[in-house]
Amino acid sequence: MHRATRLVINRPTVIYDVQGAETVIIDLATGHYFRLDGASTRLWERFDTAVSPEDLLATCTDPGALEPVLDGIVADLTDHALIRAATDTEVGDDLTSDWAFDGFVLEQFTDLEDILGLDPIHEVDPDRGWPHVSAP
Amino acid sequence: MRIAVCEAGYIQPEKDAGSRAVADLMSGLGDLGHDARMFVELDHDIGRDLADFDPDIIVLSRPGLFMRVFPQIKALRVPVVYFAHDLHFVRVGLGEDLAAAGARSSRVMRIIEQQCFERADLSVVPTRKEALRVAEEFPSARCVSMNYFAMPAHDPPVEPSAGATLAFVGSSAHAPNRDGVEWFVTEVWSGVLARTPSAQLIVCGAWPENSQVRAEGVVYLGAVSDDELDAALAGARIGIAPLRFGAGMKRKTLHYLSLGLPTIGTGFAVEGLRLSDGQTPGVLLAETAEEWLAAIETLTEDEVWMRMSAAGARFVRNHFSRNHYLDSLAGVLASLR
Repeated sequence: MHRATRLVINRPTVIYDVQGAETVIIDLATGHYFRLDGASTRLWERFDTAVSPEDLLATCTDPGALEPVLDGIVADLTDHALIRAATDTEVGDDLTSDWAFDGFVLEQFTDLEDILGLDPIHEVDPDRGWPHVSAP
Repeated sequence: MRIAVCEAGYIQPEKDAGSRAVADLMSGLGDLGHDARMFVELDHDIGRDLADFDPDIIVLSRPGLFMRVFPQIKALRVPVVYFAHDLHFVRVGLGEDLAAAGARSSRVMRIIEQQCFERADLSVVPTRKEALRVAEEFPSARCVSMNYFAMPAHDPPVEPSAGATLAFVGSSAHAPNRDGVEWFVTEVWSGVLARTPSAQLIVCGAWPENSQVRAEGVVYLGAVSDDELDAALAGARIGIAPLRFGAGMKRKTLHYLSLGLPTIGTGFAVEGLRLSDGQTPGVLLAETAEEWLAAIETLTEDEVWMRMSAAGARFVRNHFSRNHYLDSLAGVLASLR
């Protein structure tokens, strides 16, 4: 992923909710959900509007701490399809407000995929995953 | 009216009650004279297909599907009905209390279901209790309850079933079923065998081997056809629903009663099935292992068995017949106008 590429939360498939010091991110396609602590939420909320990794570094109050882990964080979020490249209509103003980076930990939970996933009716093959249905 | 009913996958009415509810909905809409068509998310561009169908009403079944499809259809400006099946955040929350679900699961489900209930023009839940809960939790939502199931009529038994076979209907894919059977076999079953060594428990539905709790006399029949299931239940003495958590109306309870099979269940087994006096004809309530054993003992008496069999079958005939279902469904559609 090029560092100038603007990224945004993968709406409408991904929704999130902040309560106190904890954020829950829900991927409606897989039924997986993720937990972020308060520090991680600060970074996550940057993706509410389209932002590039370059912008994140430029506005971070401690770029030295962010720089070595940034590509890994972006890859993690992209691999889980929680963020994606912004479309032309989603690219807004340049990010200007400063923010503090204090680490990023993404915890994944899969216990609701049978309720929320793409096909909650069929039993999914445990080895191959969706959309492969278990053998009868 | 043209009514689109949307599901995430192909329904399997012989395998799960949620599919059965959608099948009943489809046939009920047809019986009421509507052009009802099913749309499956799994293998279609459902947004485009719905636009092509040009429906008067769109019914979205289950929360995950609602959240994925609603953004694709809101521009159609067609009334959207959320067919909730149950309050998942309540069911999952109760499961969390029993450590059967992740600690944040109920919060996640509540976030999602709030959006479903608040975005839909009308939401439909199986029980009045759930409709009241929705009104309390999400005041801007418009929610009504209706019978989710149309139960076929059966001739009641003319004599008690011989033997000591207990029957459970439901698959292990549903967490309350898994928990309930595990609890019953672990906590109650040895007491049953101590009194009646020939007793048998048949578990009807899909239970992969790794989910089966094994014990002497416990038999897993697997997924069976409707006819095979009715035949198995006809040979049983008692239908059981040892559900320690859950939400919504339980078709298994209605199914047992419709066949004249006296039933023992927890309070969760009779949600939405109580008369104004709090009783559910044909059902003995039991929560603890001692209460279960006492209820099983009670149903060894033929006279009691016959009385409860007749009362349960009559209750289903009087409240959950196909005609009642159609009246209930017509009422829901009328409330959209």
